[in-house]
Amino acid sequence: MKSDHFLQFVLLLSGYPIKINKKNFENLRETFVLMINRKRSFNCFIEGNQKDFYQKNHYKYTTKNKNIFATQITNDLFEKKQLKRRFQTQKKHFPRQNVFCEEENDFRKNTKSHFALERLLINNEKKDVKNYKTFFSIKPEYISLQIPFCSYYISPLMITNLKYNKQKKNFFWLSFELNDQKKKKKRINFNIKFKHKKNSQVMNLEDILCRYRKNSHTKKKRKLNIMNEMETEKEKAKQKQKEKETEKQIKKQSNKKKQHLLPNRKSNEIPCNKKDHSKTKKKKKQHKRFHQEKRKKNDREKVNVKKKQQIIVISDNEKEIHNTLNPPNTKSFFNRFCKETISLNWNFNWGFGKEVKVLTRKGKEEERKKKQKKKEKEKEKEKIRKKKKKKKKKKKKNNNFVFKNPIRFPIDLNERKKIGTVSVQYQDIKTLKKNHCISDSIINFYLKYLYLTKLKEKEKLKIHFFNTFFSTSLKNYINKEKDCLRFFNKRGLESKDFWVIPIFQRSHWFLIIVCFPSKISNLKILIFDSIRGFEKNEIIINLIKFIQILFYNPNQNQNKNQNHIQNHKQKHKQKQNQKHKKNQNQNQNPNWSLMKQIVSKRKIIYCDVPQQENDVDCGVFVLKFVDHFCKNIQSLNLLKQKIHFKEKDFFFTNPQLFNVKQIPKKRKQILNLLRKINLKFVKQNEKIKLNYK
Amino acid sequence: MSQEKTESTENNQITLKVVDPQGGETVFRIRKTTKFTKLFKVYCERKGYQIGSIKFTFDGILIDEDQTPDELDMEDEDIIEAHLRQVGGF
Repeated sequence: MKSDHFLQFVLLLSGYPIKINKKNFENLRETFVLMINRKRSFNCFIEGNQKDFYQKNHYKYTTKNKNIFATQITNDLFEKKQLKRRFQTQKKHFPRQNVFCEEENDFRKNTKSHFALERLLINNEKKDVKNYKTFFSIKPEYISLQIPFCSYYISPLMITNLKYNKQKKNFFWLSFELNDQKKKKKRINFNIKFKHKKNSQVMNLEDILCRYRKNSHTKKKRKLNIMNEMETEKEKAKQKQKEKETEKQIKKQSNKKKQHLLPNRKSNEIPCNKKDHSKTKKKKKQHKRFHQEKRKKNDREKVNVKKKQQIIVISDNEKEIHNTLNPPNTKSFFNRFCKETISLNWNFNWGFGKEVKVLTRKGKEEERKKKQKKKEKEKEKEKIRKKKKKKKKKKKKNNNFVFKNPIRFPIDLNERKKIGTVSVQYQDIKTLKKNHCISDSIINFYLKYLYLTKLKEKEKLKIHFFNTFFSTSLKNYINKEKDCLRFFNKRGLESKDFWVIPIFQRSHWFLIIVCFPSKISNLKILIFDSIRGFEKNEIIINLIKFIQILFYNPNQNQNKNQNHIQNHKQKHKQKQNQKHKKNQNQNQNPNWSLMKQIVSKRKIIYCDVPQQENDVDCGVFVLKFVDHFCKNIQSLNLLKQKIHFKEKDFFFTNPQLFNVKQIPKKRKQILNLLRKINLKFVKQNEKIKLNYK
Repeated sequence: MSQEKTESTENNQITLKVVDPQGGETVFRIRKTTKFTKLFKVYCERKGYQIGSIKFTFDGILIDEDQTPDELDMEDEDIIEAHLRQVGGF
């Protein structure tokens, strides 16, 4: 497997827009098959500017300046060790590669998908170091269970713990709690490095976390606030003592000592001093706020006057401390981090590129005002909602379902013999709600509804709608030719030019329409899929075999073919020769002759159709495609046999055939249809009961 | 009299095969005028399925519970296919 193909595959799974060509498509399909067959987990990491990914019309995933990488990691321990070695060797080449996250073995015991975050900074440029992303490693089995990457989304709300990593300097353990779709909590640890910067703001980490937890964890926030206040009080007491001491010292010490200090600083580290001025001023502003809130207005003025004097003194002292701390010792650094305020700059982005906002005082006030406005608006909205609900309830009482018996369609008994009956149960109607997968009986119901109501009688003779169960029982038909032919003769498939076949494969719905199966010159197989790159080879091969047994079988249907040829001889001499050649080919390789012709002349068309954004809506897409097919038959007069399908002119090549937002409407439409039919059904039963009495 | 009765019953009765999706076969003998509900219930109890979860087709047509083999023009040794419920979205 090449790394490029694997990367494209991962990008496609994770929802990035990628252009798919014919070359790409084959490679993607191969990788998909390989991943499923290997049953291995894989990690990937992607690096580059976020803007390129999130801009809508930007399809490129590699550029010269930015690198994107993907790695594959297995569950076997032996191979892991090898990979670690490989990373270590990479470090030598790229010295700026600083962040490296590690796995934990405990997750695997609990869940099938182990979350291993891996991040590598390989770019040498400073600008690109800011923006990088992480992906979670998920087993290929788990992807097939319809869980996308996006559901595992880290935000600062989920932070539970922060610890200092003693082995590596400047690294911290961060642990998260993730909420699954099943609402199970999982924890994740990984390392993060914090960096200093010149123009950085001074904040407590706990204060930052408090702001993000306001919505979710109200209790914790109160505790933390109290803790902060307690700490600040203690600090003030200490500071006052220090200040007194320093004041005394300064008074005692002459100006000479100050002169000694200044040149030392300049010689050691000039930029560090500049930092400290900015830091210390902002710290003290924070300390002031805590005082101001507590004390009354009368006391405030006095305090301010006193503090302004104190500040100048403290700043001189702390510079010395900073000088001693460069380079910082681990213990002192940790203590400062936990107890005092430290200048932190959040160089990393959380999860999928949402930056952490560090708020200033003005920002706080603005947020409060916004929240007050929001609350007022919500109250008004709630009042309106309540009024609407009352109205809705009155309406709902009239339209309620009566689900004592399952709905049966069609209602006429004569039509039931021809088409068959669908019984829609309460289980199936549940699937029409939002975010539910659609069941077979609703698709069967809607296809039959279209067949009976939307099509004219001429069209009914030419079009045949298959069941959803045809795709599963196709394998059995191919093995037994008797069943095949009986099915063929009973339903009159010979005279029908269009076969509409909804197909169910590996819990995915898609649609195949076979046009003119009886004539090779016009035969086309159209495939409508709302997810490109899904495997279809098995079904297409089976379907071609099915067609071959019906129409082109040399052993049993020779007489039929000959009769056809005799009729056509007088009219068209060219067709004759073609069919003779085909018969000769079939005698040589009866199984593969038709396959070759179909594949060589490009009779399988993958239509460009709108793609789904959910993991759920593929069943509704199939119904939508059939809807458009029925409309376009009337408009384009496709029933004439001599239509040439040019790819440009064909109506299904629009990728913007319909808007994706119409699909929840479609679900409601079908529900309303079922409601009407249910009412008819109930009335009929009542009539029958009355007649019996 | 006894011979006539047996003949009449034999004429009314039909043997039907029910085929699993896995390929297993079970044989039933049924009168032409009885509804399919009996057959479905017996089949589901034997195989351990719920009644609503399995659907039956005959030559590519869905069968209703209230129908009889006489209405569908069934003959001896016809095959009915059983299918599991399909729920999909991916």
